[in-house]
Amino acid sequence: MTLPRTYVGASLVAIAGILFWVLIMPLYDKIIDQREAITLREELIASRTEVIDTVANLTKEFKIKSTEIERFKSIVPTLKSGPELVSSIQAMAIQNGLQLTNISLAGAVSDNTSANPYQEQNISLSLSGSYPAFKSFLMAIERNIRLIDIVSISASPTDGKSSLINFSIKGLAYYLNQ
Amino acid sequence: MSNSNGLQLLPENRKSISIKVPGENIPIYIGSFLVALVFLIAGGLSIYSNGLKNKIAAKDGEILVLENRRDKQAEQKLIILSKQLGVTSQILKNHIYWSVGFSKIESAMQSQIQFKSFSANLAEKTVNFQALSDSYTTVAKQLAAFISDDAIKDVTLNNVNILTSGKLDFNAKIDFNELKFIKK
Repeated sequence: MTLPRTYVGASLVAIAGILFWVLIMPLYDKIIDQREAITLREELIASRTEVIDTVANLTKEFKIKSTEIERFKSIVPTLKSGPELVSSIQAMAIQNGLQLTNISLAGAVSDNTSANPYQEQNISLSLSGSYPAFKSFLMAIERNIRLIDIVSISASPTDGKSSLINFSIKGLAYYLNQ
Repeated sequence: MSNSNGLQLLPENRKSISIKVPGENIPIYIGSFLVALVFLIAGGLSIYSNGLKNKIAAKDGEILVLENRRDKQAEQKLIILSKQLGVTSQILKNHIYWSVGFSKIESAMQSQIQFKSFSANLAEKTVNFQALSDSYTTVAKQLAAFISDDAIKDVTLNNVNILTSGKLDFNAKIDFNELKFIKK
């Protein structure tokens, strides 16, 4: 028994339709995805190339201006740099004719998790000397490359007879919150 | 049925009679053509897809090469420097200059006033001092001199005592404007 030709033809058309959905449509979807993936990669390559070139140029600039940058970095260093802070304060006290009687550096006020981009380091100083020397020291601190903000000052004479004054200073130094 | 009188009514052999109808195979041709077309398109798309796959692999290779070209150490240095730039400008904007404030106090000082002690506080925006004066007039002049400075918001006279030497011992508090008193 043979099927009529019309039925055979209809069956072939149906098979073609099924094959279209089974073979062509998934391939078509795959190609769309692949083209999108290529576009994304091309964009990524373009942006990364630009970033790499920019970094390379900045690195060149960095090397050329390394001295200035190193100086700039000491304004707000990446580390607490306690020893450097102590030695610079001591040097400023000596240069301005004050006697540094006490210094203490306390830990950070804020913690690492804070949104603040920098950390604060408490500094307490006790000095003795004259008022002009103290004012000169104050100006030196204000102009110091490592930024120090003084938050409180108190002054009282050492005793009734001496012209020496005891100064007590509380300040803040800063370092980067990494 | 028997063969009677030599006449055979039914043929010995069966013969098929084929009648050709014009266009009878067209459905089969169309069907076959469509099936072939689907296979052809699928093949073409498959080849194209493979080409795209190779292109993606090539792009991935390029990304990898770029990744290897990155100078991560330099990038880190630049990130830190950028952070430092932001932080420094922020801190510099709020940098305190007590020397400016003390110069203002010095310039307003009366010659007959002698400071015994003082304390300055940034959080309270105040300068407290204890001083000696020769008279109430001098104290009044001193307070007026402080008040005349626009960086000083208020002056409070807390306590005035007459000492056995005849001098006046007094305490005062200066409330200052942070922006004008200790900022440049």
